[in-house]
Amino acid sequence: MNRLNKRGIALITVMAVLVLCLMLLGAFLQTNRHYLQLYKGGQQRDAVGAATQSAFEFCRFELERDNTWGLPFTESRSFTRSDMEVRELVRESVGDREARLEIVFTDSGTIVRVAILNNLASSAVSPEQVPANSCRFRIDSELGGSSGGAEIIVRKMAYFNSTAVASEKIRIDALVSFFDSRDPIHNQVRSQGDIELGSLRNSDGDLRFQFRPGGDSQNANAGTVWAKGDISLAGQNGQNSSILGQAAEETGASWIDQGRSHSETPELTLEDIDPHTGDELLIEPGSYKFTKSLLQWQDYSGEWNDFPADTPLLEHWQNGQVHAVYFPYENTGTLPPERFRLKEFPDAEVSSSFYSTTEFHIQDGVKVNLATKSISIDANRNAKVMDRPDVKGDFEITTDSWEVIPTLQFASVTDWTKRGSLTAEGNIDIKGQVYGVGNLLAGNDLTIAPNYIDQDKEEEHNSTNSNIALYAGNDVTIKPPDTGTWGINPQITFRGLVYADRNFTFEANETRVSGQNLTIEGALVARTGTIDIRNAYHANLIYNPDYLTDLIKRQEGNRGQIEMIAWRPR
Amino acid sequence: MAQTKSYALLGKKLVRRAGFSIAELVVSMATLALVLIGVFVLFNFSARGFQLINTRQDVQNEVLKARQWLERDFTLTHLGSVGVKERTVSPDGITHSRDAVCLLSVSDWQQDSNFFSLTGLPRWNQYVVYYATRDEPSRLMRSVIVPENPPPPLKVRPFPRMMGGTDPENFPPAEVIQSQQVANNVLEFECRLDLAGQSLIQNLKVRRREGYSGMGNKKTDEVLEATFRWDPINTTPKI
Repeated sequence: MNRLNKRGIALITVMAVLVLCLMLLGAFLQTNRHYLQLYKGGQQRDAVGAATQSAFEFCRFELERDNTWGLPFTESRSFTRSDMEVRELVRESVGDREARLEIVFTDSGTIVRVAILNNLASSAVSPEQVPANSCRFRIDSELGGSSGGAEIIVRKMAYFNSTAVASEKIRIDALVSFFDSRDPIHNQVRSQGDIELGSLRNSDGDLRFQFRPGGDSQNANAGTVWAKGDISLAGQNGQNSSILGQAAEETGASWIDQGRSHSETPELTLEDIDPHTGDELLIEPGSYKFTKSLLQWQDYSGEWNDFPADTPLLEHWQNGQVHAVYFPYENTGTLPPERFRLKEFPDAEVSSSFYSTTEFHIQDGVKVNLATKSISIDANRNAKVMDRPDVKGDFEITTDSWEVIPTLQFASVTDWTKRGSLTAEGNIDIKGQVYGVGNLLAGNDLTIAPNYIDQDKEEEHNSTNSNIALYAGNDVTIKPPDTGTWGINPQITFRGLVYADRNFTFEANETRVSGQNLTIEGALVARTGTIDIRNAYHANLIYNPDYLTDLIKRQEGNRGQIEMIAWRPR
Repeated sequence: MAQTKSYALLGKKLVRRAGFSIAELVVSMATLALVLIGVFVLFNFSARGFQLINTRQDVQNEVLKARQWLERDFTLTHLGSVGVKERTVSPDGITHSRDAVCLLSVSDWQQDSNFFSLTGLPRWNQYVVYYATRDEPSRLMRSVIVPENPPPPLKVRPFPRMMGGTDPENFPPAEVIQSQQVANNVLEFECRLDLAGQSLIQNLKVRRREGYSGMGNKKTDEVLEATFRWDPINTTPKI
């Protein structure tokens, strides 16, 4: 009996201890359930986030490959990409403008649904409130009890996204510099080197740098000045003073020096440029000089006679010699002379062409006006300077008198669809003005040095109406002539891309002249060199991506880089 | 041992009754005491281990909670609005960082009116400031500030008031519309902008002092250090 009782006590004791242990274990598990849930929830949330990001990258890739991707699918299709099973869903109704995808990530089991509304081709906000020239991705992801997603706005990226960009120093010396943008997102000045600017306020007490972003109040940030090196304002280095903070406060823009993010300026070659013109015509290389050199003609007795001293001429020089002379000659009814020479070069007979009027075509597509001292390229023609082995492929328009203002004129004045173009493998040197709608494309240097600019003579030569884009495989230089200075209110305006593969230099009169303005609307690029703007009265740099896409050849198919604008969680 | 027999008179019957001698009692009680001591020691060890695990999990929970808040705010902001104010304390002779960091945010990401219609960009309308308090034990606080001047939308730049020198613990109450504790027992909170990588790096160290190591009476600190790297995705245009 006693033995039986003792066994009973042992059992009870063991059971009591077991119950105690189970209670402790239960308490432990209960305590940790919350932690385990938190941990598991975190894992699922991470998977959902990663799936959302992956789905976005997939959609972006497809859109970059074909900018028309994302239109509603008319038939269902399934395919596999790495660890994703993708199913294109047929649109739900005829009026449905959204394309729909379902993506299953095989490794995690996350399911992602994407709705795409492609508004890239439209310049208006869509009825679904997708901004103009943009595409919207609505992504919803779920895994277990976790869900997430995002609404993402993307748009096509312009070839250049800066108002002014240089790989070396940017130096701007102007009474006031306006950094404007026609784009609601981008308004930035970038340098891979240093940026040197004047003091924050000019001598009149006005703010020297004014940022006017596109979209007006839509953009809470006026712009960005970014340098990989130093930014200095009137010698005050941003590293050693609070000048950049003060500049940010007063201009509303971001001023960032010692920037470390990497960005590359894409290279453009002549082959990448689409002049958007019609027929090509070949023009003789050399220097075309408007002058009043004394021309002589030989009569039938062999005697040389002078033309009137005020006879306007166009001399065409090649390899240091007069190649041809163009001039007006009034036919009096007798046989015209056959031999001509310039009085200053009596030993050289010149090939001459004379015309009954002062305005004539020296070749198909190229018209000369000796009265206005202009060479005009016909509308919708691409004048290509011949590149011959015996003559360098340079093109120059010049004069030997400061009273003469030569002009290179594109016949189309305002119609962009009929622009002209002048292309040279070598240098283009215009010692005069450029007028009209067109492109100057030089494989080497491009120089514009008008010897006199007066805004009061607008009706004669209004350079403010130039819609010119510039491309140079080397330097772009705009400066006063070697002899002489600019007059009052000179306005230098370019509309389009101003691209120098090396340096861009704008050098006005040494003494700052009122109205001595430089305006570039498009983008200003010095890919491997410097931007140097000196003594400008106003420097107006306006970023306009529409002018850039126009000049640069469209990529094959509908390819185009896409940039993300906004990410909004769902 | 010879059993002591005793007899008792139970009514008219004589009944034999068994008992323990004092020696037996002492020995058995001593044995019981030894067993109980062993059980108690084992129990104490287990309890300490249990407490340590609990403490460790609490610390991990604090960090996980903080991470959720930090991730949500810093991945959705604009890098140009992130500003770091370095602050330090030295409670035990060792310097600890208790930085403050600000960023721009939107009050309601689901509301269409908080986004520009022409571009889809966020209309930044509030600042969020994270800071570790200087008292002990320190707390990681999240404050939402809507400045009165200038009114939203706010320019993309770090919160001027904080970068200008005002300590986050002294912000005008009228502008602080919300303030909450994100983590407790913060030992260190350090932030650093990585401009090369266009990201923000944060170091969060949480400490609790309630653990005992092993069998001794020495208190140990349970410390968890986490490093986060955030890439603000709404940095447009890319700087």
